[in-house]
Amino acid sequence: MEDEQKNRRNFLKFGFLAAGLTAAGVALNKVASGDEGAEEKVKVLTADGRLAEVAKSKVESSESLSAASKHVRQGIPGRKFIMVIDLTRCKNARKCLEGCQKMHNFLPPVEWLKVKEMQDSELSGKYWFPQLCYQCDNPPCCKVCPVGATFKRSDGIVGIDNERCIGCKFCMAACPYSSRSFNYGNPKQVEYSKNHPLKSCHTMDPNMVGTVSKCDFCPDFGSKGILPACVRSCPNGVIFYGDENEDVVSNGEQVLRLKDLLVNNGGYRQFEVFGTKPRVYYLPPVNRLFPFKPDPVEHNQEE
Amino acid sequence: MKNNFMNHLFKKLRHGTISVSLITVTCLFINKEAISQAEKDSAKLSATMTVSYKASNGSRSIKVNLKRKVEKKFIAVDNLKTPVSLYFKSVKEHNPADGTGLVGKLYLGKDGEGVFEIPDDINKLISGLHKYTFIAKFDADPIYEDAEEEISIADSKITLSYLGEDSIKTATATLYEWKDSAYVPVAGAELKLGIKRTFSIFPIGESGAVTDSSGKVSADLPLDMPGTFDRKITIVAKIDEHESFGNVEVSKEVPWSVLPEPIPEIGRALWATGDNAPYVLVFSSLSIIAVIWGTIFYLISLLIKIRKIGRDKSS
Amino acid sequence: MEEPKKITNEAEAIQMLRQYNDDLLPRKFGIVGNTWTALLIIIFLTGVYCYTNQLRYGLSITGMRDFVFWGIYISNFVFFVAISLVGSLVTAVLYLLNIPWRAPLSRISEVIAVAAVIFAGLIIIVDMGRPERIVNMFLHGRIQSPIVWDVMVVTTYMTLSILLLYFPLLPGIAFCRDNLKGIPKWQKWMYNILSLGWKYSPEQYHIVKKAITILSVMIIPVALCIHTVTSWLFASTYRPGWDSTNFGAYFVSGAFVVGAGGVIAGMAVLRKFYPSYKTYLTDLHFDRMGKLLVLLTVVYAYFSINEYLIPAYKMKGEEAEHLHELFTGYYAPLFWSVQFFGMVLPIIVLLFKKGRKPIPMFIMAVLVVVGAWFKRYLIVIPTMSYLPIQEIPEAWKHYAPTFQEWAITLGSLAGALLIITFFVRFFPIISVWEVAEERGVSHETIYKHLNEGNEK
Ligand code: SF4
Ligand code: SF4
Ligand code: SF4
Repeated sequence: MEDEQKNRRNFLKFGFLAAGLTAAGVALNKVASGDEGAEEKVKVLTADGRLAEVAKSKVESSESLSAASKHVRQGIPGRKFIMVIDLTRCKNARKCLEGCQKMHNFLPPVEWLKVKEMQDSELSGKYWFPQLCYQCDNPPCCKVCPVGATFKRSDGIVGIDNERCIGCKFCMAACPYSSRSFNYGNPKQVEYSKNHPLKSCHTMDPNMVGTVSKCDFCPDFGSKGILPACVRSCPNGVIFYGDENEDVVSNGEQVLRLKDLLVNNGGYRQFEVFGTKPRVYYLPPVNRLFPFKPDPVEHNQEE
Repeated sequence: MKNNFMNHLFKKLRHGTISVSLITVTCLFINKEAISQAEKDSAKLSATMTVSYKASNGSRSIKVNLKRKVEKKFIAVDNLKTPVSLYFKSVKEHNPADGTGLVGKLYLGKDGEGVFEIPDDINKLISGLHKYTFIAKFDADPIYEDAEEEISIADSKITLSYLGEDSIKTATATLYEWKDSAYVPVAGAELKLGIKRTFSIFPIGESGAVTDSSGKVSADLPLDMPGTFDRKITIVAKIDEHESFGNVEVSKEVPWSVLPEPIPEIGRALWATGDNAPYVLVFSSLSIIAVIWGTIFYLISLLIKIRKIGRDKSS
Repeated sequence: MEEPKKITNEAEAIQMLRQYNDDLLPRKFGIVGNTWTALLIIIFLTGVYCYTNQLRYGLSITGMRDFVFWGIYISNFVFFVAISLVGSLVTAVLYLLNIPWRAPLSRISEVIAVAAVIFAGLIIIVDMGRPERIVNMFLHGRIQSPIVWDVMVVTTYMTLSILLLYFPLLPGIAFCRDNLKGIPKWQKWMYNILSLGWKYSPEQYHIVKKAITILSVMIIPVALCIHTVTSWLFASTYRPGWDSTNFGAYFVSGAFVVGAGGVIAGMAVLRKFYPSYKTYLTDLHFDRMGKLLVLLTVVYAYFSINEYLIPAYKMKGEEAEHLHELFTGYYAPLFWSVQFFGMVLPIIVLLFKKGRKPIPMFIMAVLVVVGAWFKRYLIVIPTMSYLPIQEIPEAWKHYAPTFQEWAITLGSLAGALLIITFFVRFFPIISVWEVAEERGVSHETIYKHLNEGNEK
């Protein structure tokens, strides 16, 4: 246990350093072009989520951050992240959730983003429904957390502090959308986490057994102006992401005015009746681009 | 190499087909390099490298992308073990041995991409030239065949101007190229205008607009687009993947009057942090706790009293 | 079944007190008692062993998964909280109402309450993914969270219950200290410490009387709180079956039923294994407790009907799915047997005078308690299978407790029973002075008698 803790702290440090390092960009190149002797290399996560290898001696601690720090809890100043999911375009390619899993280093059956079959009423058609954490503006999960391990930031993101979470799972009960996953200590995941010990201050840590996790709206990317992993992975441009204050959302290809998009296409939020005020809007599945085809493979049948 | 060669021989030895004397002879006469190289290459995969150039407000970068074909589809190479090196050719013929002309080395990410930011000193040097070439290459990777790719860029320049009145706000961009020791306007090139947002550039004006004979493109800005809280908005002009200029982008901050909705303070709420709990809740719970635990401590004091009476009696 | 008449004659009273003391002093266990204790210890230690596994490998050793994230640990927690309410019911409510037959029952119920509330606290820690971080609750506690309320109210109730057990016990401990011969040194030492130098003096007696009155008044609202807040853990969510404004009353009424059942079962067991207790736990007590249980069960039935009938009348969305599963689906056999054996049958049997004899009462009490456990299971688990997304793979919502999970849960039940067993072994389970007072013996007489024992 103790060792695990220590390792984690180290990774943490490198994670932040890496962010600083790549912000400079040039620094990384200089390091890499320098003498490549027998110096020990460490892997760091760059700003855009890539792995880079840097000589250990070049990684210095300038700023010590952790998920518990005020900075991370307060969010990125001036931002209000928002998402619009266009149900007319989804054809269950499942690339978004794979991208998310890859980016956040967790293995199936954990899915922070789920794509499920939906049918609203008997005579209406079926459609595919991607669902993630809605980063609610009146978040029941934050209400019930006894220790403030899940918190609402000023940029709209509902974050989780995996170093504080006591694993009571009350937030999972409170979330009406079942958006949350619990790290039960699946041995495969534990093994995988050991070999993929990425950590950044904003993103929650999927490696911490006994704590809760969920979609975090990719704040690491957001702070660097990069779209979330799921948005970038979707081949059909289903997911739009942006900053509500800028009134523009983008799926990587198209760039649209947020208000126009929602007003003209009947944007709605799931379970408005609960008053949770999600930050994720849906465009209704009318005039779908792809006919609904049942998924031949049953996903996530394993325990 | 040597190791490889020896392995190779030992393998053969184990098969018992070659005698010791034969080994010595082979050692003397066969080109070691040739054997091992051929053997290795036959097992390696080939990958396609693409290199693109980007200039953004004067800073330059080179992006390297590595893909390989699997069953008619390109997939990103995510397991390149060696770093990719970038050379700036115009300095000198590149020389991998002493590293001259070397801009940097980079390990590619999971998505098979890497971005070289051109350092300041080289950047200055380039600015004086009007045609330049970069070479990206890697070699001796255990999995992939060596690859090398070259990109040549011709110098270009974009200027961006803005005319803001109350009811009409216009941005105009002009594209120039270096020709015969001067910048001259380029006509007929696709030049895009837009407003910079966090994750994207919101396009303005006609889509697919090309420069006129004086190298200009202009567009009206939407009047209701929110800017920043300090009353600014950033307009951008860019050319994408131009065959001789690459990607070139300039941006300019201009004064703007549409502010975003003010961000409300996170006040006292049920979902806020512990310090921001609603007053009613804090006071009511504190008073209940005080009353009940006050009584409990009183009761405990009674226990102590009982004990004291017991002591007094027995003494 | 007449109430025993009051004793006014002092000599007679002292005679009776001597008799009481001979009958009610704690005694060494026989073979049955020892086997029972050993069995409990084995089950408890198995649970502890499995819990160390859980600490090592995480909650993955349980059957819980993302969609069914609360399992039998939580239903067991609710059960413990429910049964712990009996302490306040029998001791405080009956005390304040001045019910004449409650004295011999008060300590039994208070011990059950203390044991249950201690294990309620422990089992909730067992359910946590990161028990070592419990300290965060104090460092970063958020007053907005029902869990924080629950932690506060459980600790408060635990303290109050222990005090309510301890104050009336003081004379008893002192009497054990003075009169038990041939006991090991540590036991003597324990009595010495715990009796707080009790000298049978009137001042001490008055303090105890005062404390009991204060505690009885205070423990009632706290007891109501503890179970109401526990119900809010569920009712404050949006899930079908939990999202109910009736939940507090429903839980509290159910808790009184299982608590009364627990006391009746305890009475019957004591009477069986300590024949001399027959004089104190008389048929009258069973009769009265039987009537009380019927009353409580009827109240419970009323809230149950509210809880299920109105949603079933409306049958809205997910609520309908949930109710169908309970009424006619997968959980129907369990649901209906719990309703029948845990509620309907006891009401019917206990309405008859013959039904309120110790043996049928014991059977009914066990049915009530076991039924209550499974009722908690039905409250907690089925709800979590109803989700806002359709076509969820079966594996996501299927829950079957694993062996280790059962072992830990049974271990906690065994642990609570162990506390009760040890208490019976070392302390008087029936309060002599309270019983004597109930018979009209004045405190002066009791004081005289006890002092006589003291000087002997
Ligand atoms: S979707 Fe669920 S987990 Fe996400 S913010 Fe809303 S309530 Fe919380
Ligand atoms: S599981 Fe963690 S994040 Fe969720 S409520 Fe409990 S402590 Fe808070
Ligand atoms: S926003 Fe990020 S964390 Fe959330 S589903 Fe997309 S990739 Fe996953």
